[in-house]
Amino acid sequence: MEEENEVVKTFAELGVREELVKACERLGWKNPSKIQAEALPFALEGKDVIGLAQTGSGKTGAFAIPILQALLEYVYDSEPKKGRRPDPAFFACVLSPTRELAIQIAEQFEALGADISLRCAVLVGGIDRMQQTIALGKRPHVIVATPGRLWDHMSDTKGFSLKSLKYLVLDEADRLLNEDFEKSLNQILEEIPLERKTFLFSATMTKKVRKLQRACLRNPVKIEAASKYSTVDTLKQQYRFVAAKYKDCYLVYILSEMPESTSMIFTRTCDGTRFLALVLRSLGFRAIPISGQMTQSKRLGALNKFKAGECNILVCTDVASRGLDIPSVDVVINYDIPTNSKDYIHRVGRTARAGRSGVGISLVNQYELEWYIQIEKLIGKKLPEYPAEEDEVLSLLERVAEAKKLSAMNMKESGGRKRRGEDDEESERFLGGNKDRGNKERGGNKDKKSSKKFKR
Amino acid sequence: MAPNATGVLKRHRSHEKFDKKRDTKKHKHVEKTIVSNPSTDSPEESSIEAESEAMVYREPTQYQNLLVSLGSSNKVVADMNKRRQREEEGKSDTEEDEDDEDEDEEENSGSDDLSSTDGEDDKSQGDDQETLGGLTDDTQEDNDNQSEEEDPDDYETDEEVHELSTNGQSFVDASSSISAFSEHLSHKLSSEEVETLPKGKWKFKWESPAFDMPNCKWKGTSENFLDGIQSDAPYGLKPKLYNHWLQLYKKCGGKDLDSSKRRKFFSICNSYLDILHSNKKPFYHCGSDEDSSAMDAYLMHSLNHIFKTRDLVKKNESKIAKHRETSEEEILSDDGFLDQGFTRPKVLILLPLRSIAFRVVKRLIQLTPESQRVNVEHLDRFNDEFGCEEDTDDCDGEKTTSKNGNSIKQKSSKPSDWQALFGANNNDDEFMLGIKHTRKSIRLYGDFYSSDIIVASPLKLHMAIGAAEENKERDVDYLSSIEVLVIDHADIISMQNWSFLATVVDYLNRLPTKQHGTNVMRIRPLYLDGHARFYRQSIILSSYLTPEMNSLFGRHCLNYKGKMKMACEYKGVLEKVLLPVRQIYERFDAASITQVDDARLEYFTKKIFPKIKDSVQGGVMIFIHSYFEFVRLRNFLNTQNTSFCLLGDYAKNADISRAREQFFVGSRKIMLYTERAYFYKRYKIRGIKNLILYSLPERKEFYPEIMNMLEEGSHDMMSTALFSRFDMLQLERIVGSTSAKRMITSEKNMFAFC
Repeated sequence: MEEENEVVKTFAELGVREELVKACERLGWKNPSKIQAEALPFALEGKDVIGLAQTGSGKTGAFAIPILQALLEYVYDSEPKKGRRPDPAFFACVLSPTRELAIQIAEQFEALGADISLRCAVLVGGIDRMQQTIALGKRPHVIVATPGRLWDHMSDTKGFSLKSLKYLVLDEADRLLNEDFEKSLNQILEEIPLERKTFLFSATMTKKVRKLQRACLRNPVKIEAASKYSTVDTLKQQYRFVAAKYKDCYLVYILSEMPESTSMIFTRTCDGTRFLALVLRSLGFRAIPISGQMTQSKRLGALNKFKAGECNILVCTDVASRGLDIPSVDVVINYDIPTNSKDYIHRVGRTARAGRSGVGISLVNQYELEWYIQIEKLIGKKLPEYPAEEDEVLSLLERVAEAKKLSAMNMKESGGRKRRGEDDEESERFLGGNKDRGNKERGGNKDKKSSKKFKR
Repeated sequence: MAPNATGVLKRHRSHEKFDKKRDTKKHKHVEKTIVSNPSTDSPEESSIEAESEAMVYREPTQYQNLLVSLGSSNKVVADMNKRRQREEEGKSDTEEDEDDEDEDEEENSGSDDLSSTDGEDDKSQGDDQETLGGLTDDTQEDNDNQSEEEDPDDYETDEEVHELSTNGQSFVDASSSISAFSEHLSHKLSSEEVETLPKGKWKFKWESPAFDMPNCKWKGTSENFLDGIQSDAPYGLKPKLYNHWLQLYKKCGGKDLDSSKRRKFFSICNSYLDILHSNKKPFYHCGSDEDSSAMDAYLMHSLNHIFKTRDLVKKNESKIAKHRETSEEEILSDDGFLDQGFTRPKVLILLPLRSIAFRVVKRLIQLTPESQRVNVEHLDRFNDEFGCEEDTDDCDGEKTTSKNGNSIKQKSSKPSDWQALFGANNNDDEFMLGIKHTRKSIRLYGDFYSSDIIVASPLKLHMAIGAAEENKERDVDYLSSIEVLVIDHADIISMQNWSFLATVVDYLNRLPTKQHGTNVMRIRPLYLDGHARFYRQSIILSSYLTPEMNSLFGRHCLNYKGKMKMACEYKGVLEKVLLPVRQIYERFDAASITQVDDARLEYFTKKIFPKIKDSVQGGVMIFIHSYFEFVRLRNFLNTQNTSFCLLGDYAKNADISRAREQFFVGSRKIMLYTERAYFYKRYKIRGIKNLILYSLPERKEFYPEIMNMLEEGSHDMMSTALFSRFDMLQLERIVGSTSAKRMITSEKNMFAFC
């Protein structure tokens, strides 16, 4: 693939203040990401910004840095009153569709703002409200919230209001509008000042997002990192056309080639996640499933196993992975090709985040070719083929077939999808399961060669 | 360790058992519904405020017209007019000074929507009265309205009264009086303090003689302030409170408030240190003067605290009202508006009995200036539920001598202290009362979240805490923002269940579990940071000291200001033993306080019991301090097939009568009697020939009382008392401090007094 040749500007060259440049350096942000490079000049200039940006593209920095810079300027450029500089509470508010994402955003704000004594509060559901009320009483500069809980506090916590708000961020706006936040969001937007800067970020542009943009932003600058539906440059995307009956072999082959990498494998059905996880486990991989049929607590339990590194392979559906704060993974594998092209963007957005590199691989069988073509149209480019020697792949056929047979029996015994309780039992088995990993049986020059390709 | 652990558990269980039984016997059991009353701004309120402001705004014009017209026709009125103008100039100066102070000070807390509402009501009432009044009333009411117009109104009123005072105090004193209160709450804890305070390690650095107590002295941490104590009125009190107190004192025959005990103790309270006063002579031991002095002092301190809290909040409220447009932003940027806690109650007074609460609350009402108690809501209910039929008071809130005499005549068999506590009085130990002070009235029985002061018994609060733990709907968040804790008559609480008190104190100043309508942007940082317990002043008053009080004071009172406590020398009560009893004291050794119980039982079973078990004559009384010890001893005697009877904490009256009879006629040779049972019942026992004090009584008066119950005429009257070096506090009160020290350190372990 041909790399674009662009002159990369530094944060300082984009107009970021020295204190914040140092903060970025401390966080290991060597250079601004594409979305940051495009958004920062306009945002620092004081314009509203709408950014088309995927998860992992660095959009949090694209709105956090301008907010912190404005806060610093507000504090240091104002006339001190009674010998004290202003210490503005509720200077900025970030709305997020999930609590996990909210916590992540808050952590980044706190990391960037540590040197300037930034106070950040997180208002999300499922956390004790009184603790949050106390956090509000301490007058945080920045609030990161899910809309429902924020509205609870705006309506019930006496003394709290966002009447002095200067910056509003709508992060992942398409998800904010697709989930059940529309009512809360409207209530919030009616209460906050019209005189404010607004940043809106979304991975996709939908009618609702466009409508929200018209209602909330004034003369926004529109930023598109590369194309309307784009993936980040550090993401290496590959495909492999395979016969349906050999797809499992190819999956096992790919995973064997990168044994310590963290991976997410996407399937289309809930049963698919469980079956595939069982197959992989019986072959010695540390895999765990997440599906919509699992309870929220089970899902979070599985996710915690994954985060803690006890399992490095997460098998999931699009629905199940939605709303979960899954850390950036090394590899995303589309075992089943999504029928909605846009879901592909979300899937591969799980890797190559915030400037890090990542790999996305799609296994396309003869029935999925049409969907795959739609994806290539959407992202605007043809992807290179994943290199693999078919002979090596098919040498796994017998072992994989045996594992599939055993797993199918396992699925029957557990009663399939009939009852959620048994599903939980299944999860328990995974959560407490075997940590051993099977040894690779191959060696020789070919392995080395393949390994080099991925480390590249 | 295992036996001790078991013992501790047993002790706790038995105490709970005790109170459960007592609960079933209660006749007055009033369930108070704890109603959370969050207040939200409403258009109606805004409208009311607007109307009130409009009314107030119209007043000056009419008033000035009136003055002008009157001035033109009457010389006297003209003179009054001139004087008023002069005073107005004075007020202007005052206002400027106060503005300067406002900028510097961070002050007090207390939540106040409801207070604001009441303020509006007060204004309405004022206006109504004006329209109905004559010339004199008009003048008076105009004066009030004039005060209301100014900011802050309370300072204006105080200043005026101040200038009229015969003591002629200057405003400088009033200014300095703010400092103790605001200085205390505006202190910012260092991280070192936050780390050190919870450890409860205190070094008492100074000593100073206690006023009017030759045998006692104060000890304190930090610096000795007693020498520099304010000697000029009003000693840190709000002038209005001071003047009222002075008049009240004079009316009761007091001559010099300045040099009185109550004034001096007030100044100690106003230091905001934690205080442990363990030698207060209680009213029921003919110590009414000393008792009421201490009570006056802590009540005056409590009133001062809540009134200053209210002053600050109201001042800030009026600032906010003036700048309604920008008030939101002002609140967020100005620390001066951080004036409240999580909840409104700021003072908690813990008392053992309703009759005592009755005395305290009545005195609190008396000590409130007349203009602030025009109306006392629910006073009738209070008198019904806390008072008793025969009650009458003189101006100090004490019973008249004649009434007391009558009581004595009626039941002469019981000592006067029992009569005073349990005779005709309401001695229920389960109560909780919220008291709210507004501009012109006092409300009793308000809901706790609207109250300034809570007066309660440890038992009731312990029950409320238990209910809150079982049911999340309920809470005790009204304990979250207590700034002044008073525990009075701790010696009686010690005769109840001390662990309940410890639980209550442990629950103070925790973060609340719910929101209660407080404006979260006006909560003091010390509350938000979870440091309120380091700002809570605790004042503990008792007639004697126990290890449990020391422990509570040392480990649960963590006020950053430091501590002061009383240390006393005792002469003992042996001279009150009227009978020629040979009193033997035997010391047993224990390695640590946790082993005292086992060591005591072992010593008794090996050294004492063999002497009495085969006694032919009987008449052996074993007096035991605690119920836990009672249970262990009873179990031991059961294993020995000994003839004995019981007078324990939970004995029924019929069983008691039978036991006393059996003991007297000698069919039961040994009787066990606990201190708590004696405290509540004061049964006289006939037929005692040999008295064994298994453990020493806490209450020193009980020692001679029990000793004097021995059968007179018996030629071999004797008593034996067991003690260890960990019983120093009880021992010194009985035999005197000098003898006690000698007995603890002597190589001998046996001592005799005749």
